Amino acid sequence: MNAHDFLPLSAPMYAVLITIGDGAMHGLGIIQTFEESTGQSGALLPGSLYNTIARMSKQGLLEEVAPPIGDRDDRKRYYAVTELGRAVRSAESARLRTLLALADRGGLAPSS
Amino acid sequence: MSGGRHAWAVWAYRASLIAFPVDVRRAHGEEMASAFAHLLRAREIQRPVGVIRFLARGIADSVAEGVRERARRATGTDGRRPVRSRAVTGNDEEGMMWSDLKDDVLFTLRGFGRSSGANLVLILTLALGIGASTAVFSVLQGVLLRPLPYEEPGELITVRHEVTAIPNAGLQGIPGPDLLDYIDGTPSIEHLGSVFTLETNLNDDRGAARVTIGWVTPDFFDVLGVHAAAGRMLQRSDWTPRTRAQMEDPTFAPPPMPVMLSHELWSDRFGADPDLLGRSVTINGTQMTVLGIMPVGFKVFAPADASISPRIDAFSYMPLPMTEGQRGAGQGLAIARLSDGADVEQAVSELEQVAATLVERHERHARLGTRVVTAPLLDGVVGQARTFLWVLFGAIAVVLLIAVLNVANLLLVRARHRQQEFAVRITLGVGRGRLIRQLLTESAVLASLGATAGLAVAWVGVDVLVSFAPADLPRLDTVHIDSGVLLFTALTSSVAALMFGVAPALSSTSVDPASMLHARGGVGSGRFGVRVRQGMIVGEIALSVLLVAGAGLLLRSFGELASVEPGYEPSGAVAVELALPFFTYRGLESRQAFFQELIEEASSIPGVTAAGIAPGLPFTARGYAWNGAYGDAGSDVTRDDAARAQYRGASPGFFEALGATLVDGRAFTSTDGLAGTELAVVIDTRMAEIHWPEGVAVGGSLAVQLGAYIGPGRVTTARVVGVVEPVRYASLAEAEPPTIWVPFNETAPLEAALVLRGPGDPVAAAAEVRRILREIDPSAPVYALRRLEDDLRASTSRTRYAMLLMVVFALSALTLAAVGLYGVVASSVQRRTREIGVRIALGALRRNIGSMVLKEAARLAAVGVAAGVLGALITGPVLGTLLYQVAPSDPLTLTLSAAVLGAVALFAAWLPATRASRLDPVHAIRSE
Repeated sequence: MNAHDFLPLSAPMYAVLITIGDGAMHGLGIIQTFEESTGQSGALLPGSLYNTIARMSKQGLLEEVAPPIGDRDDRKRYYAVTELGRAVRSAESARLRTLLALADRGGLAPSS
Repeated sequence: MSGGRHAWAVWAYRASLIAFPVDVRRAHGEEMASAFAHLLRAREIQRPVGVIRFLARGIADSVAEGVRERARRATGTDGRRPVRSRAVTGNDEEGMMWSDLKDDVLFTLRGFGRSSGANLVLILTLALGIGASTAVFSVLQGVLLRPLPYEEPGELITVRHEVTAIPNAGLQGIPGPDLLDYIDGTPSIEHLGSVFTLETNLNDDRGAARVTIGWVTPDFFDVLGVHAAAGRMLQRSDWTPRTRAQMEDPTFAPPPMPVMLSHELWSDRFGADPDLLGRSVTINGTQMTVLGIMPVGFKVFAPADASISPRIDAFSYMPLPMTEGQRGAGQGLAIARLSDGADVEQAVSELEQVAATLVERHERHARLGTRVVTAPLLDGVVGQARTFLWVLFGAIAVVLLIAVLNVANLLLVRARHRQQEFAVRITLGVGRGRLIRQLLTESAVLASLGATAGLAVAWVGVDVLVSFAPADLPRLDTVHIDSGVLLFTALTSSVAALMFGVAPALSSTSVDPASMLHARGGVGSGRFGVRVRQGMIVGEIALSVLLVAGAGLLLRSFGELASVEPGYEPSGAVAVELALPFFTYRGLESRQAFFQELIEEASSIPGVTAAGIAPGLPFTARGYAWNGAYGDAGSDVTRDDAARAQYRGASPGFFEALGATLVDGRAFTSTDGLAGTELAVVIDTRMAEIHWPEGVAVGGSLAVQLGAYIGPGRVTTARVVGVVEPVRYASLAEAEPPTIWVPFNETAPLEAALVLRGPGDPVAAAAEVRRILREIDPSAPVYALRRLEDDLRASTSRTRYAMLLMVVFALSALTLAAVGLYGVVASSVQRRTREIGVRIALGALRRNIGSMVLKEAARLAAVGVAAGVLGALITGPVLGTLLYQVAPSDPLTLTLSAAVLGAVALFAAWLPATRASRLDPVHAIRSE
């Protein structure tokens, strides 16, 4: 499947891809990290987040990985971004960057 | 539990996950719920509003996402096979049952998504009905049904004495020597032990604290089957009864006594110090050696009238001697454990045999007319709460029934609209059984959603019910939602689903497809459905009358109670209770001196206009009084047929501080009741009316019997110095017996209450009293600051609680019945649109059309109200003891209830009637 078939990504999907980055995270970790780095609380909620994760796994964008050593809470499942996921993330980032550049050029994007 | 104190929110969130397809829920449901709980905790929201807001966002998110996910799958945008269309499929083969069921559930859920508003109303109706009845059932279960927390609690019975010679004396404890006879004479009873409690002081280097000590006989812990949490239990060999001479000897220094401390006292006061075992503490002025610690949360459950404190901090063996002089009526409560395999009747007949022997052998028992009275311990503990809770449960069950009827009603309307759909499917070969099954599945899904939401309602409801519960309701701390309650909810909602599912399923599938397909909508809608719906409305109205009448009776009772004059002025008065250590204050003079000084000092507290002491306060557990004989001066009041009165103590200043009304003569002075003076008494107006019906009581004299429970009491002649209005102590609902007030100094008991009138700030006044007490004697602690207003209000709390709940239930019932009636009338108008159009076209007056519709509603309402009034007359007596000065068949209440229902019914029918009278005949005749 081609990465471009997934574009444009829904906001939660993109948020998941950029929050996990190159590591592995569990669902609650994604919510907390996203909240910390954006300063927005409640932007991701458990219901939609886990369903998004489930769909992205099915689509091959995420894969479940073994929990890091030391985390004994076996109810938490960890996810990492797959090759396809990385490609989709790059493609979506490039798409957004192009759009943002366009907006900048027209003076339409406030800088902060 | 995850979510901690907001467990209910996590629960509600978890319930909302049902929106997701089952595979998502199975794979991620746990994580979703625990993530939600974590986020909720991390936000540290304090106010419930914040929690609800966060919960609402969470639920909105999962419902929206769940519906989106289902839509993706249904439309195949996820590359998955869409769920096959249900419109014309259906198969009766056995093997298809389960997949059919799954499809039906999915179909139902999608259907719910389409008409969400109407379904939300149905689910909310069910949720409130099921939730409220679950909450009331939780209370019923915790208070009435849950076994007592002892070994084999079914084998425990209370054993008490009834003193038949003294009317209304109440049940009494069994004194030591009698208890020994009962133990010897009852092979069917394995253990028989007794307990009574005393509020007293614990003194250590940190000062004095108020504790409750439980005095037990050697068998008591064997009766309940208790094992020490640390150290060991008391053993028979630890018991050294005292002689009466020792007890009364002011120089006697008692040897250390063995004591068990409650786990709570051990943790709170001694920091759960394991080294405390074997050390000694001072309780009740006596050195006591700590032998062991009771199990966590150990409580002695006892009937309310046995005056056993529920929280006992320390247990020791009764120091009292078991001498012959004590026979008759004693303190506290005896509990027996039946031997293995013995039956209750055998044990009771053995006890009665012993009681008969006691009456034969002991003159005192013969004089008192002693009888033994037994009851299962749980019955005694629950007491009057039984009727009260069953009445409330019955009322909420009626509300639930009305809710279910309403849902059935709405489903019948819906089924009518779907008859054409069913006709098509029957034509296409779908069996009727299959359609009925689908409709029943819909009902089941509806009931499950209602039950799930209802549990959230119940969770909150239990908290509300418990926190507003009357203070005298026992065992409230065992009320919670447990597996038994969940089972109740499951059963209730299943029965509900059948009740509201069957009628619509039968009526809407009993169609003749041929006529149905040809007919224009509404014509072939079947008399069956209409009749059933009308019957349901009549039932709803009748049941509502029951509840409205019940609420009305309770409202009137409460109004009557609230208008009773208590005979004193509770506002502006505060009281502090205190207890003197026994061994320090064994002598009467030492107590008299202590209290005299206390009253004088307390009277000089700034703002205090009057201060006085009495052994007990109105409407408290310790409203201490005794029942004794009286008669003309010089008459023999020890005769069995002597007249009886209630005796109470009061100090100088007490009547004034209490706000009692002095009608004639004077109140007590500080010299009344001291040795060597003629005994002065104050009587109440009831006593004055009985003994001096025409003359003047003040100055008259009476023969009185003081301290009648211990021995024959002291008989003396007393001079009446004053007359007061009766003061209600025990119950607003019942007048006190004729009362003789004796000077407090006469007995000056160890436990007493100081009443202050006038201090602006009660807390500051209590601090002042504490300071005064520290100066007089630092070992006497002050406890329990009370406002007399609070105690009076608490005395009516059960009636108030029942009344408030009944009013809420009745309003819910009225609303539901009104909505139901509106639905029936509105749909009847809709069904008859063409007929009405034709009538108007043919010249019928519009107002006649309106009144025709109203008449139809009025007919239903009249039948319902008549049935309801009849039902109220039949069920009214169950309210029994909750009513005051109002008969269950009170005509005014019943008439008003009927009128309220009639008015609500006509109001509900008004809108559809108006609509019918305004129909445009042209449109109406063309309408489908």
